[in-house]
Amino acid sequence: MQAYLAILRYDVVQLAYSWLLRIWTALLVLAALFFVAVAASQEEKASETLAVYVALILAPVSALAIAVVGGTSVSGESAIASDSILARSVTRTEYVAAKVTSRLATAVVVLAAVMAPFSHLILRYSSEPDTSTAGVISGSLMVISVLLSVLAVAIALSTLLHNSYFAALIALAASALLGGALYVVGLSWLSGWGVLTDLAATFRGETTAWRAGVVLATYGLVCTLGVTAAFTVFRRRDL
Amino acid sequence: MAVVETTDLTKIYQKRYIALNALSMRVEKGTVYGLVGPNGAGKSTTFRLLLGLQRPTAGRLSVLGETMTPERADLRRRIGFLPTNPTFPRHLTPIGYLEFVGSILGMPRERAKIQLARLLQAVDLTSAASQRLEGFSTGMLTRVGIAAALMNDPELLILDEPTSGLDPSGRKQIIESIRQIAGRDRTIIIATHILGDVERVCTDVGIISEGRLIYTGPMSEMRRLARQGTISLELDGDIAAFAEQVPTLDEYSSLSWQRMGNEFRITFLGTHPLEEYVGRVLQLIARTGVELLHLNTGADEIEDAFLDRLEEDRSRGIQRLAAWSASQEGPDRDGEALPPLTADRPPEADRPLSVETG
Repeated sequence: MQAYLAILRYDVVQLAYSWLLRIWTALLVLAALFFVAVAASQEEKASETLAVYVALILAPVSALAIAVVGGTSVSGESAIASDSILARSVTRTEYVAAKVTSRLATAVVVLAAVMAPFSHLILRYSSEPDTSTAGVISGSLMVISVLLSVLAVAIALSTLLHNSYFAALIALAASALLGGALYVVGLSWLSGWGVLTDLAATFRGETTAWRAGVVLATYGLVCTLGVTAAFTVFRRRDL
Repeated sequence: MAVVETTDLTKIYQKRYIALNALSMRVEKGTVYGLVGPNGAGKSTTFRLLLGLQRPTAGRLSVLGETMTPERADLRRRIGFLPTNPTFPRHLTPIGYLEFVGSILGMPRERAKIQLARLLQAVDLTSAASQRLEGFSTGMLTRVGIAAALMNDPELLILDEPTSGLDPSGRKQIIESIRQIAGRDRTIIIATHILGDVERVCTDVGIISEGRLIYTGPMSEMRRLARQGTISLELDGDIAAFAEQVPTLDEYSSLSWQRMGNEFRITFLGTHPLEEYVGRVLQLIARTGVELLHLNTGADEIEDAFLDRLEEDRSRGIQRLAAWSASQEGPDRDGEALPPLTADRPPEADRPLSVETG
């Protein structure tokens, strides 16, 4: 447990000092400030402004950042892992558990830290605050679950591939493929793109609880599968 | 007691590359064991298996009396490891890094701090303790690695090419450090292809080639094999007369010799002490009236012995295969591979005969 906590602390500090995290957060914050200004000055509905911000800025920027955060989690420091960490009294399970925890927690903290205050500000200053609290929470959770599924797949690929950026790229491609597959089987509303295009309605509280539940369950399952695959692959791999 | 024991340890990567080929090795407690071999011989793979970073394809492996697997963190707590050109988190200082190592080893914070202060002083890095590792030279990083490997005061210390990439003074400093940390209760295994390092610090030596241990024994025996009857000379004067008389140096003509210009290399294959052979050579020099410019009984000795063992192993390849096949058919050898040459079974019988180029 002490080893897990030590690696967790080390990885969180690593992430906190990384340029990726700084740029990612700065982009989201600056864009959000712009949208708050737009909401305050234009005759726009709050739900529309918030949905456009999430769909055009937060989701794509975060998907890219999250794919890199996940893709670099294990393969990005394979030499340090084998030389300085796993050659000592650390099990593979402890190592991957610490990595998964720190990356998931960092992503959730960044997304929540941006979405919570800025959705409040957009609603506060919007000329037409048409959203419901439950709708905003539900929509935010759906978007976060979609993004975390990308992260989990990227972490799993990071345990398998040596090239971090290749892992990130494949994770994004896999998410796009999943969306395509859902579209083909007539479940386009369940795809990442479907979730984003329906966001304005979701923020207004028009999406049913059942539909929101299915989205959360589906991407929660993808996330669980990704994390399980990361543990399984890394425990069997030669370093 | 064997601290490390492997039996027919085999590692094949992706069904394409044989890194270890039925390696059987035994390292006794308290020894400083030098694992010598050319690049790609399988030294690092052996270490990665000993540390549980990789799983063997076949064979048995015991470390500190127990089987090592990737999940045996408890067993690794008793081992210190210095990898080749170690990679560290570059943004940390030596203190930060050693604290991190202490915490993953489960050391209480206060004890870790006392230990890291002692170790940084021991490896002469106290003055650089507050600098980031990214600015460190290879030698300094190696010393940080040694300090990290010693944080848990390990029973077994594994050093993979500790002098790799260092200048002569850096090498000397590391060798001195290793000498100081070697002790009765601590076993050290050093992999290297720098034979001078092995000679300076090791008590036992194993030669690994193409994934097989082809020689194992005490360092003193390796030296004896190396120096056995080989004398190098540089002469001036009537070289031809001297060359003519060289075969008479041994009454049974059991010697080989080479001439390269005015340099001679004479190897006596008999069993007399080396001093006696040196005496005979000096008498011949006096008799033929040549001038002795240089005489050496130890030039490149360890390198030569090392190369001899490699050459022997290559020449014994088919023989080994036949022996192994016979052992598979034989009633009393339960599939056991042919063992490596050992100090108890010196390979004189396989030595090549005279090579004359004079």
